[in-house]
Amino acid sequence: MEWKLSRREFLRSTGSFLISLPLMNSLGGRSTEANPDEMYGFLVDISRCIGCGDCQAACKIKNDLPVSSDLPYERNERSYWDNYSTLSAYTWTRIRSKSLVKDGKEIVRFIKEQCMHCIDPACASVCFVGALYKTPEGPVIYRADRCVGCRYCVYACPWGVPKWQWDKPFPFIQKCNMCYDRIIEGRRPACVDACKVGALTFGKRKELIEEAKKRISRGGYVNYIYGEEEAGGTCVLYISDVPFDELEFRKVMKFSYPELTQAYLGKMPIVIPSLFVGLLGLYLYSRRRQEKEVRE
Amino acid sequence: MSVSKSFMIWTSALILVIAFGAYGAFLRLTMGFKVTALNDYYPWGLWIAYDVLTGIALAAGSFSLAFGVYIINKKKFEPLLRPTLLTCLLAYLTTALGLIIDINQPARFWHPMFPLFFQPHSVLFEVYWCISLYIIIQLIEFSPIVAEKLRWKWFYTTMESEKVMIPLVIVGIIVPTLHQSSLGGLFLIAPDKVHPLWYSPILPILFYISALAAAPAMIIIESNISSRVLNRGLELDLLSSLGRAMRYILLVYIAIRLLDLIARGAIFSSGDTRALFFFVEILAGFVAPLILLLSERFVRSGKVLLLASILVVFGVIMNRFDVLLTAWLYPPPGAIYFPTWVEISVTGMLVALEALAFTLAVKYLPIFPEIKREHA
Repeated sequence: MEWKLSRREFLRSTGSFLISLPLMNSLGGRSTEANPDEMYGFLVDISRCIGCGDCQAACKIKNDLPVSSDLPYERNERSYWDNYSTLSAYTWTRIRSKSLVKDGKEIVRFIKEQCMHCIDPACASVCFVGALYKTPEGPVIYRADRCVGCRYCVYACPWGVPKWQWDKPFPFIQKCNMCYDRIIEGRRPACVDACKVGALTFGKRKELIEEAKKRISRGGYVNYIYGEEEAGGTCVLYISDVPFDELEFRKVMKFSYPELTQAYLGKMPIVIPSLFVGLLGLYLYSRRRQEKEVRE
Repeated sequence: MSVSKSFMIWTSALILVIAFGAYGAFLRLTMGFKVTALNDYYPWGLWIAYDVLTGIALAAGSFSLAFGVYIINKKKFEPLLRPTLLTCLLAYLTTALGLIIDINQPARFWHPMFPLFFQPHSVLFEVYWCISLYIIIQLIEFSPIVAEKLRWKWFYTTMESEKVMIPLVIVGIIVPTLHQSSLGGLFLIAPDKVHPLWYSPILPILFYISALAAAPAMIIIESNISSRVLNRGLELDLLSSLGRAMRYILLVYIAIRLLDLIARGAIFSSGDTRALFFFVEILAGFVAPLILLLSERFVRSGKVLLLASILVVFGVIMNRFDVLLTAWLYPPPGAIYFPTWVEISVTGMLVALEALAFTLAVKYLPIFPEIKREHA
């Protein structure tokens, strides 16, 4: 059976590939186009936190998380104030303590840890079923009914926030969702409600940045808002009276991580048709050359 | 068909390994990930490094060979097509099985195919779709072999005609090209957690070229094994041609890898044991075989060719393990991952399944042309 690919057929098949290109435009797109200024978040004022752990308890109660089935309760010399040694599937927020020296005096600072709720989250961008999802309101939520359990989000998150239920045969990911159910009801997250010293302030991201700048200008703070630019900006922001380096905050990139994959996936609409045209052309060329050889 | 004693011993040994791995898989599915060494710091371990990254990288032979035979018309390689297609198809099938055991929700493996869940901005989405599509393409490419056995003449001639084969081959080259490189693209999201000796914006290209280098190496190794076991001649002429192709691929790979390291200034960013892994990988896995293959006398020698191929396969395996595990900077110092026996047994099961399926297919299907002639 001889099959000759005519010029017209070649152009037609190439053309149909080019027409399908606009369909691929969604590759590498952001998961939400909502305005970051209008997203909800909260500001953590490290200078005000006394490390009472009420936010942590409120989180456990609100999300019905077990207290005992966690990682070992570590009380060692290095971190006397630490309770849960890390975030885990059953501890979505925790207070970490850090002893350091400021003006010749030994002091302790307490750092609340939880999901940072990135404006453009790496976890949601890598999720291939949309289980992790950036809501237009701000919180990054987890839709367990979609999750396949590839654990790519655990790999991708710059802060290592998503955790798995390692004790279950078919585990789900667990992480802070900023009490999304309360936010859509117009209420504040449980941890913010529980804070009695005003270390946590809930609001829209733009207002939080204004508030942070106001407090910094009044003095006593390091002139830096952690989360304003980290990972392209997060909805949870931190201000502190001691440098963030000394508090062992993770140094992350100051651009949104999904851009890195977008730069790669965005080339597909060029790569795929070029491969197609190149392979077809190469095939036709080597066939014609062979036919010529046979004739000679 | 007679069943020899050595055949019985070989298949029984494989079945034992499979049974042991099946028990490991049973433990994973009933007890969870407690039986593995995976934890919140190491979400991906041996199963991803070996079953997926390595398994797919070493299965680039089929589409590379299809490119040679069908696209640039090097018909002399045709005798190698069927055994290569078989091993690559089996590698992909076992990768899929391994992934189903590895994911947290095995029953939901189909979720990414469900249109409402589509997430085209995820590299993993592309990898998933390309691997699924490529398994189907390989099954279609394999179907004429079964048709020949069953003497479905009409089906066989239709499938082998250019009208069907050429479009199939073109799609069957584009799809693996995309996912071979996208497997490297998976790591782009973690620039600050993958060591600069391995992290690079061109990881997709490096993954692709190293898979291309592994393709002739795997074909040479497999030809050596099958020629010894099945007592058939070694196609040394063809293998030498493959060796020459491998020489150029290695040259390109090393050049790009070094230029990238210099351009990013990462070549001096060593300073810990990771640098040792890096140098072993590069020198033993890529530079040494290149030096061996540079000499035309060595390329014509079956033994040197085999040695160079083993080195390249070692280099590619080590590269995939390094990118995923050695380069992984996220865990606190001291948290080192080493797979448990359960993880090793499941990986062993997948390899044994592949070997068993290959053994049976060679025995009952027309895979090797000259063996086919014997029975005709």
